[in-house]
Amino acid sequence: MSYTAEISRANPTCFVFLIDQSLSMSDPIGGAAVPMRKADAVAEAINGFLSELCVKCAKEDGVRDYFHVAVIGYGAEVGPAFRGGLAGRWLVPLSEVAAAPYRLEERVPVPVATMTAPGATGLAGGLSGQVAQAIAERPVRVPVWFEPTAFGDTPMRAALAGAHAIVREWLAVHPGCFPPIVLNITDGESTDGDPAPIASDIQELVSADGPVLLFNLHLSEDRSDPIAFPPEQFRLPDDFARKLFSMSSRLPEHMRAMARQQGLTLEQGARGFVFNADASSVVQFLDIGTQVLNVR
Amino acid sequence: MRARVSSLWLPRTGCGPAEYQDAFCPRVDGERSGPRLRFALADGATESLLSGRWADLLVRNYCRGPARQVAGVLDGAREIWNRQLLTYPQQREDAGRPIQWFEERGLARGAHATFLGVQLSSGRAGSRRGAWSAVAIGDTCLFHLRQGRLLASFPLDEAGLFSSSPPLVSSRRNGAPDRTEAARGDWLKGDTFVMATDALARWFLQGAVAGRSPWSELASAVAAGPAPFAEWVHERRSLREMADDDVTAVTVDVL
Repeated sequence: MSYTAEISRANPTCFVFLIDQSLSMSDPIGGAAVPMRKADAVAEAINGFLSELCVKCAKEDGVRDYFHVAVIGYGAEVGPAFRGGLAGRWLVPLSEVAAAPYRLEERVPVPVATMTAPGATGLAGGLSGQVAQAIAERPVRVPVWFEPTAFGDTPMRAALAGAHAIVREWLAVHPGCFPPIVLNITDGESTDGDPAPIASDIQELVSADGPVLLFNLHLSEDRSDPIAFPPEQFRLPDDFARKLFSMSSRLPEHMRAMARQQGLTLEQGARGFVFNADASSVVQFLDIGTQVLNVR
Repeated sequence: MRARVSSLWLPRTGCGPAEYQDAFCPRVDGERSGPRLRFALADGATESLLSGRWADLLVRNYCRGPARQVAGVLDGAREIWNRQLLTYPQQREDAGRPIQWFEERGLARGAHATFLGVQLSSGRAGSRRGAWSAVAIGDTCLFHLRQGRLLASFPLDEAGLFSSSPPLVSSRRNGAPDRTEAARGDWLKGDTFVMATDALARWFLQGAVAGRSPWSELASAVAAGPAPFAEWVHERRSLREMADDDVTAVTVDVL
């Protein structure tokens, strides 16, 4: 069965993010609580995702390299989008990502309904609860690796070619890994030619555990409802949507299970594709599209 | 009553002993005697920080503290944990390893572990039987064996019931009650209790369903000692019969 390989430091996998940085990314995104540019929403979602991944892979001895990550921007140019110490790096082990954010912003966490639930009894409801509360409310440092950018065209084909090269090289060294996942976030049509053939080349790359996954998200500034993870027979609104749909892999069962937990009902054959995405569906796309099992 | 306990453990492939996140109590093998004997095994969650230490605190608090009900044991462990956590940042500073940004959120979220505690109580003086009781949160399992037969499997009794997100004991009291399950029964002299963390427990139940006698195979592997046990686990892993996870088997023979 595919997509069941255990992910470990001895057998890591990789995520490749392709981020549209064209001029139109400076337009506002739909569905944001406060007005926000599409580029800002994406930068926040990617930084948040990387941060959460580092936290989940952190142990007493540091962040473990279960994953390697590439963030490629495409706009005025195509290349690695990390800033600071990681600038110019394509695929970076997660421990190095964790060690070198571009900057750390200090924030006080939003208070959570916590330890001292009403009516709680016993030791934990008393002094211990207050102590734990104090710990939970310490300021935390929030990392930033990737800044919003919006300038130039949409060279999606070149970006996908970059992802293809990274993944092919990765698979030569890690033939038994959980298949790499490529996530493409865009707000417009490719300006450097048809991206479908290179997308198909990516999906034909395989590890012993199955084909590489390519997922696509289209950002919208209008208020149309997002179309999230449609199945094969879904009637999409236009050729551009159908193109991105055709470039998107089917979601493996464990990702559909994750989507169900989030209240989405996905049909068999649902693709890793979101059309007319608003701010919250970017986060959901990253959440579901990077879901893996068996991290050891 | 008297019982002999022996424990064998192995970290997942590629990990050293310091990265092993199961915890068991008592730590020393050998004979135990008394009117009431306690044994515990816990499995620190992969995705939370300091979970191996939290698992260790839980099992020690259950076995060595006053014989409280499980709710008191867990809350007592949380109390100790939260006090220790207050001084942890300073300890790290002193050790020249200040807490990194990626640990701050993990520490605030708390540590998580499964928990299994087993208590054996004497019967009347001179009696060959007594009572056992067990409490569990999560998928660390207890198997009660008598003369080559599996009498009880707790809290899970089917391999299909294991999941990647079992109930866990959190070091933070978050308002949700602990998902504690309980079981009890009688023991006879000569009975064996095996406590196992999920990878081994799942292998055990898969074997039982397939009509094999996994307890005989496991008993032989355990009796052979640490090195042959490790070899046996490696073989199960390479044949994909057993998940590559921390493995712990605590065997209690009632004497």
